[in-house]
Amino acid sequence: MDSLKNFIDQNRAEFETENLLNGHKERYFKKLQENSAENRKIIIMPYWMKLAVASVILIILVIPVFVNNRLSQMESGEYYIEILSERSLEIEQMASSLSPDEKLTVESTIRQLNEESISLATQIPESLSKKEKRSIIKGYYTEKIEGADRLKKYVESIVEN
Amino acid sequence: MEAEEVMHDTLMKYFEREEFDSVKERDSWLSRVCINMSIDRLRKRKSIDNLLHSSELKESLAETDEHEDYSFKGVTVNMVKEVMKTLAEGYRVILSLVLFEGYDYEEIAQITGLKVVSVRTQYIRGKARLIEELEKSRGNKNGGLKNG
Repeated sequence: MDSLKNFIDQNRAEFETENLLNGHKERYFKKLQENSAENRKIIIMPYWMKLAVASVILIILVIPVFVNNRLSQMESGEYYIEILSERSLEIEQMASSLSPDEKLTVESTIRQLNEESISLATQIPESLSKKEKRSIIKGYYTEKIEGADRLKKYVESIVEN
Repeated sequence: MEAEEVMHDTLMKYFEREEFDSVKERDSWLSRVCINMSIDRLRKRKSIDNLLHSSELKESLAETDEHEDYSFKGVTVNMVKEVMKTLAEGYRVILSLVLFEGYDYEEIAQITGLKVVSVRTQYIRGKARLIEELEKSRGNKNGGLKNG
């Protein structure tokens, strides 16, 4: 029988009456704060860097919107119609100095290139995928735009002479 | 102060943990972590290793506890507390783990990295040193109370 162990067991409550030091709570909370501060990383950025980051974020947010918008225009043909329209206007302006007969011929050609009684986009079957639709529309309007480019070169050649 | 720091560190680890299945498991975990942290601190000071692995342990590991029946008549808790503070850290650790935490020699061997035989020897020698100091503080060097 270990008499020392018996003594400790019999007086255990008295052995475990040590008071904590004054201010122990404050020291503990301070340590807690330091511990959470250490785990937090603070990044200090100069003003120009903040602007750069904001710009990058803005660009990243805007790009999908822009891309979606452009894809939508390409699927409906709007995108190509706009290009064709700009080319046509250029040609009309160039042709203003031509003789009436020549001017009439040029205007007639422009009209043929731009005229579309029923929009191609509405004629394409729904069963086709978006990619296939874009491909058909692109092919159709690209021919018209190439036609407008050829007309422009023709008008340029007449004007130069 | 060091004890307070160990207590704080133990609590911080406790709050990082997920909940325990029972109060018993929680208390057991807290004790274990607190003890391990305390021993780690002592190891950093190298004092515990110096004592626990000292050459004196290599001599006569088959010691017997001559103070098994020592009479604590007239001994107060405060006297034992004061004497414990004066003991070398190695002895204090082993005595605390046996007497206050209730670990057996095998468990203490796992905690400290010592052999079971060494733990027993440390305990016996620590106890002998404690009783020796108690006798001094009571002013009785003849050991008249040894056999109660």
